[in-house]
Amino acid sequence: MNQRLGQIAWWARQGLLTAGAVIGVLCLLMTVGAALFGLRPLVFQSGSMSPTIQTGDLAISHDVDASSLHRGDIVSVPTGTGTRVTHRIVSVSRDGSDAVLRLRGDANKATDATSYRVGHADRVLFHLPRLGYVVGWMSGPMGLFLLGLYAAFLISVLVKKSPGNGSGTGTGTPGEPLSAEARVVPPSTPVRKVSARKESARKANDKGRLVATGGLSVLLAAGALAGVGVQSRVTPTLAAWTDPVNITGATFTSYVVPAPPSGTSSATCAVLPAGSGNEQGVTYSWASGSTGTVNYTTTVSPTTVILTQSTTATSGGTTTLTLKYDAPKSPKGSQVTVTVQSSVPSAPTWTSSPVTLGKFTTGTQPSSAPTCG
Amino acid sequence: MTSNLASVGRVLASARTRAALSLGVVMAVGATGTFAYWTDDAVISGTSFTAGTLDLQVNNGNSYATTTLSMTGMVPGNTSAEVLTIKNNGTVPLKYTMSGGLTGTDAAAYGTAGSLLLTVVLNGTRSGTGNSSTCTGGTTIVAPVALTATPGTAIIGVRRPTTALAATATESLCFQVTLDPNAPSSLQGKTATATFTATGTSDVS
Repeated sequence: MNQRLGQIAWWARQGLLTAGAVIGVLCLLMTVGAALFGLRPLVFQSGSMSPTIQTGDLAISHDVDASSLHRGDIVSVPTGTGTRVTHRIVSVSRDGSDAVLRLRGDANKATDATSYRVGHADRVLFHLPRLGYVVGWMSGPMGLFLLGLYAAFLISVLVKKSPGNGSGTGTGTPGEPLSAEARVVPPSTPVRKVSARKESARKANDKGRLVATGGLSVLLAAGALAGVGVQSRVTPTLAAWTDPVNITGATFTSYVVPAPPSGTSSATCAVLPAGSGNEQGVTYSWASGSTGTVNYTTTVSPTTVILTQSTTATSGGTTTLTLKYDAPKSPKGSQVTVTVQSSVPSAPTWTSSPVTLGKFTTGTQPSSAPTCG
Repeated sequence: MTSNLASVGRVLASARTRAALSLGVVMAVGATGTFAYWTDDAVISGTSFTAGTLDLQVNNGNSYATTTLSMTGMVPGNTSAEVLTIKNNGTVPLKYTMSGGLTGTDAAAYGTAGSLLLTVVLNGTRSGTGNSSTCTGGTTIVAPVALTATPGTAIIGVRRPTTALAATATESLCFQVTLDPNAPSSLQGKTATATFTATGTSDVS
């Protein structure tokens, strides 16, 4: 029973070491790649790039200059708020060495509200499904705890003295001070065959092993330095969904201030009896036409005619303009043009276009009445 | 030479070498600053993944035609108002922005004059009737801004609300449109249509 458990433990240990070594080398390559080629891993926290890239995928991106960005590329750019968005380029406009990008997620109906001005950007090279979840979990408390345990286990393997029998290859299970022959190992293990070789042959290979171990150490050290120096980071990226809602139907039409009827045929001219002090006058009447209260502004030409009254009144659907002038002080026997503009009380600044109501001719004497026309 | 290669193979197969290589994982994680960068919190809490649906609605629809915002026979100083309910009908928190502008025959006339002013009031209520209805109460989140003839112009440019709108949560916005009291007389009889687009985003940063 104990023998069986030991065998399982041995296999588990071998599996862990081999898998760890493979992943470790990949991590090293990634770190070196990040340092040398500007590679950046991206973890997708949301799914607006689906179905191309789903939530939880891990993508590898490559930092490129703005000049090599094109429509259709998937790029990752920092947003103003310190996060990062990874979407597809829908348009690029160049501005010097910079590019102004309009981006849209494949799953989005709308292009992103903001455009991004970049000198360089991380272009997605390829992506690996689900791996982002693994990386995300690794960063959690449980993941870090297990990682710590794993590191402790590795260090224990590294610092453990070789078994006393001098088998320098270090394949022996630490903590089992048994001779190579007595070890509980599967019979087909190649390592065991190696350890069973003649001692002299092993010694002859010491040099080669030294070189190989030294090379690996250098590689590890370089990788560690690169990792620390470049601060390569697995970067979370939002492939944010967007959902536009259109609000329509608000139409605005402004009021048109109704103009009084134009032309003498519409406005009826009548001469007023003379007032005191040779005050003469005329009236113009027309059908009101519009509903509501309308104010009129009257102007006369020539302006040398001294008006003493200029009032409008509406009654029974008819609007009447009463014009009186000081005949002695005004030009005699001259034709006067009467123009009105309308406005509404709620919009005193808005007026209609000016309309000529008609003309009248002042009398040749201050005491003589004007005539229409 | 062959024996050297063999020894390299043997070294690679050794437990120590594999253990050393395995440390690459630990190192890589270490180089990432233990991922603390991923969250704003000092406590490392892992990465949050967003799965679910994003669905922004206005008055319970994915598009909305206003009913009381339009005005006819509008004179300077007239106002119209309508309350719109923004709803997160999805399963993930969202924020939204809004853009808008004028279209139609005389959009340019209104746009150039800058005479149609939009005010948005959070939690405002509509009071009054017709061309003198206004938004009262609440907090003004968009001060009177002139609508332009470019429909995509940002009106709410910064994603809101500050604390993202949770799933099923709503927010009430009162829209008020004012014809500027100083609108020029040349705008008489002009017609323009205002369109707005509220865009929800799962980017709640």
